[in-house]
Amino acid sequence: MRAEAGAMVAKSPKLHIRGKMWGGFFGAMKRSVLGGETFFFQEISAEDGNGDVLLAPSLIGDVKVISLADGQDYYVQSGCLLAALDHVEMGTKAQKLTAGLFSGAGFFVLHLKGSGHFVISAFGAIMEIPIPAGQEYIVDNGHVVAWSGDTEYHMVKAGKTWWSSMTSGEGLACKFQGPGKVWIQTRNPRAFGAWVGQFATRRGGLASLIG
Amino acid sequence: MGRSICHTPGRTCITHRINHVDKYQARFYDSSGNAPDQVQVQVESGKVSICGTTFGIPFEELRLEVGGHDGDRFKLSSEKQNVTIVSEDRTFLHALSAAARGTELGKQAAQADHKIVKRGSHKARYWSIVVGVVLAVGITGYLILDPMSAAIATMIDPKFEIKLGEMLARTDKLDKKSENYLRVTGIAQKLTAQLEKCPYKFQFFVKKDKEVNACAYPGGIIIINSALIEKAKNDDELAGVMAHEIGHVIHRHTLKQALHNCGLITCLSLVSGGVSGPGEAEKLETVFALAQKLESLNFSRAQETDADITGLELEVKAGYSGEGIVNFFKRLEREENTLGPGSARLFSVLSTHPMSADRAAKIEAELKRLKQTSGQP
Repeated sequence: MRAEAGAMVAKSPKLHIRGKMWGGFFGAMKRSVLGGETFFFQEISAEDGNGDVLLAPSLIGDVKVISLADGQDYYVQSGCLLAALDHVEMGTKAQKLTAGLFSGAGFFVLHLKGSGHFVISAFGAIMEIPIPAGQEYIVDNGHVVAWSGDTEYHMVKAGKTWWSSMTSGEGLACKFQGPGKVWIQTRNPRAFGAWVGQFATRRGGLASLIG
Repeated sequence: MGRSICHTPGRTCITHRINHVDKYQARFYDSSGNAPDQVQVQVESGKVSICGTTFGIPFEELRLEVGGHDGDRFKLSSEKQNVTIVSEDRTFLHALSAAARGTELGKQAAQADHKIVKRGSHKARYWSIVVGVVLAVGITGYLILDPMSAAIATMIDPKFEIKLGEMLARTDKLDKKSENYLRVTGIAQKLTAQLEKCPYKFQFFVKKDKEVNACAYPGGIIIINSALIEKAKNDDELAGVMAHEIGHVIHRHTLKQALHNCGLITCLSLVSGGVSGPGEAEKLETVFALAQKLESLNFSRAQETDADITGLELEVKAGYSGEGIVNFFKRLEREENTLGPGSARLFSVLSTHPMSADRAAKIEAELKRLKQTSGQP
């Protein structure tokens, strides 16, 4: 299996860990620069016998195992993939311009297909929302973690009018179309970061500009 | 789909029907919103049916549209039965468009196929536009960096500049007593006395350091390393270097350089998509450090020449020969060559102020001009 670099917490001594560039140098480059993932992934293999490994993400929040089955593929927000089994194929895909700018999931998202399981991590709890065919669901931007490839989403204003969207504090949201599933995180890392930022002192400043 | 073997076209064909129908992979969604079932579907006698079941949907009930996050698959949905079939298999689409030719579904299938095929070329065009725009913004930003920072520099109050320099230069621990310091202040007094209407208050400091170098901060603080003072054979040479640094201050080069760096960060953020998400600020910093190295953020050649010319004028007015700076750098270069490449770090002043033949010629020409004008009363 492969896991995000630095994700391991504990393991059995029989398991081996190796740093690997998943998908070759350029694949790793693309993934880390564009997809916001770590450049190296650790490959945990059971060469000498069975064992178990504990993994944890750096953010405080849920992890969720998703099974790749039935030919379904999934998109995962960059930086939210914690681990994947060996047979999962991972690629980086670009989103549409509006989605890339405003969805909070970034311009490049990870595309997972193949067979096996993968694990997503998020900030806060992860909720799985099934969207039946022909129905729609609206998720505030910054809360989308993963979605199945059969769904698609568009950026819409959260309220009925621009004024109500802005004043309600929601602004833009992602409207998903069924059929499919979407996984959301109950907390918005960026909003949390902004909240923490009020109490943090600024570092760097002018001195770093002159170098 | 039947298979027919036709030997002679135009004649009566011997058609041999094998009970073979192509099957396609698809995902079947019912109205519950549960995870889809992977199914095999077939197109048969006016219906799309699920293999292994008796379930089939007639063509009239089906509506087809392109969908999925990447627009690479199609959805067949029936409102009446409240089900949706999603597939990426284009041969399925071809079979549908052939079987339902002439109907609304057939038309939709042909259009969908066209749309999915076109998606690839659209993507290429989309990406070339995105890359083109990003590059254009980046390059324009970079090209206008210097004129912009020069323009912004004129708007900054020298008082602020002096404060900025005091903030940046850590002068409290520097030597203010040694012989070197006295030598420097002696020259500094002579040089600064020649300045007219200068908003800056020049302060010279000596730093104990093996590296031969000197640097000017915005607003008039100039720090000279002790090694440079010891390497200078006479006051002419030392005055040359000091006057040159004064030139940098007068032309506000450090300030412009700082603004240039600010602009560079902005450019890089524009191109790389800015700082967002955890850990990206660090990533940007690394990219920035790399860019700094690549670009070697020293003063530009034009800035060096400006500082040279202003410096020379001061030197000559203060009564120094003016030849000191060229002699000093040429001697340092010779010394570095004899010491070998290992000494490059010690002579860092050479890498930031290379004395090219061109620069030396410019200095000599300026010196000649200055001597001529001062020679004529």
